[in-house]
Amino acid sequence: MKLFILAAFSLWTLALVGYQIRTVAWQRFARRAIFLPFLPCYRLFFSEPRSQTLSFRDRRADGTLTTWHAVPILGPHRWHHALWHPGLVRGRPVSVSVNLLVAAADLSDARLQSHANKLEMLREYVHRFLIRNHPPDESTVGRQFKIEQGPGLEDQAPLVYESTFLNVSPPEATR
Amino acid sequence: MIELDATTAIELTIRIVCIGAVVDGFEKLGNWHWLPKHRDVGRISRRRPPSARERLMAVVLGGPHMFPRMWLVRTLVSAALVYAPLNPWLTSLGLPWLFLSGALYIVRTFPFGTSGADRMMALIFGALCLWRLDWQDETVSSALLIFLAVQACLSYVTAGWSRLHLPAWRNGTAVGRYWSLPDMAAPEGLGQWLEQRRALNRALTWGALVVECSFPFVLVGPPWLSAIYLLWGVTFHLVNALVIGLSVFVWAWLALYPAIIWFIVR
Repeated sequence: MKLFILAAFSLWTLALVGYQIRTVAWQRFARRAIFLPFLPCYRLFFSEPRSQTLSFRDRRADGTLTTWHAVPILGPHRWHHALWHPGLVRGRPVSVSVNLLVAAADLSDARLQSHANKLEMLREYVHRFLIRNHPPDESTVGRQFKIEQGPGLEDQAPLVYESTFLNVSPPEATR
Repeated sequence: MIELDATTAIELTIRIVCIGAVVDGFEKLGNWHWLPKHRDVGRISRRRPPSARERLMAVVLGGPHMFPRMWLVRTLVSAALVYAPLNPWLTSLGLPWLFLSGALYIVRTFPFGTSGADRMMALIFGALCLWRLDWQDETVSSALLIFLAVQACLSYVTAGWSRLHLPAWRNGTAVGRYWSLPDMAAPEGLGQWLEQRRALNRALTWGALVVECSFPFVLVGPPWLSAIYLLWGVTFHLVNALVIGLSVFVWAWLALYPAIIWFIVR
């Protein structure tokens, strides 16, 4: 038993080191690894400081467009959030989706094609989040969202993601 | 000189990570209907009829009552372990439950709703489950604590090393910029004040990078150096909690510190 436990700790450590380094060999292996979600990736913490704005607009049945409406993703933090921050639970999935969609802007066409399913999934998730939080009225037939990023570094242009108009589903379908 | 034996270090680890699990439990119980469901991912990404296994997973992970019930038990077990971290019954039944529920949560919400703190807590509970298989053995207890101390070093080194390649960190402006962002809790104007004092901003930014990249010295350096690293680490996490609002993140990482202290003083 002791040997088994020691071997398990050693293998686990090796897997974690491999996950941080991410060599080509590791990536090939990791594609089939079912334990991947359980390994923490420490490379993601506190990257480039940027603020992001998520906005949406609706298309009415008569073809008119509403103005862009900005939606707070995580909302303003307060000091007491150091101890208790339920807003992070609500906002994190959208924040992650937004970050991944922005990151996809830098991908080549070939890589975009290979990640098409994942990007569609992220786009759908953000869309449904917006529908749940801001239910459309009866005259709305489509909704579009965009992500603006800034202010980053002065020498970098703000990245923008803009979705196509997505169909508006009944609110119960978004639950 | 501080004295810390392996049992006390593990007891402290369990207490700290379980306090985090209690906070996390209440936060998620109040918002569970906001979390992404397994079926969200499966339905959209695959576009084919779900298999029997996927249907079972959808019931277990996405059912209307399964998740909150599972999470309520998790929160109660965590609270009990804060009170009695080395109780034989609680550790033998509670630790596997904490690991299993954390793993199911990750499966349920991956890749949307999972944070580093969720994964770190699952990792700590998984390691504690392994330790519980032969918890009276001193070698196994030492292996657990070494594993946790190595995780702390790995996390800081990886994060620091990956940030070395980012422009805002390299030119020493990142901390001031972070504190200037509108969705941070830093006092009004503090970020701008720091950005105007370039030397201080650079010192804080590069200080974080240098300490993180060299964090393994905490284990092998002289006691005064280890004390500086530990003090920096605790301050770093408390400032992050205050400015960014990462409530559970703090507990998940501070739970690794008893293992580091044990390694230093053993």
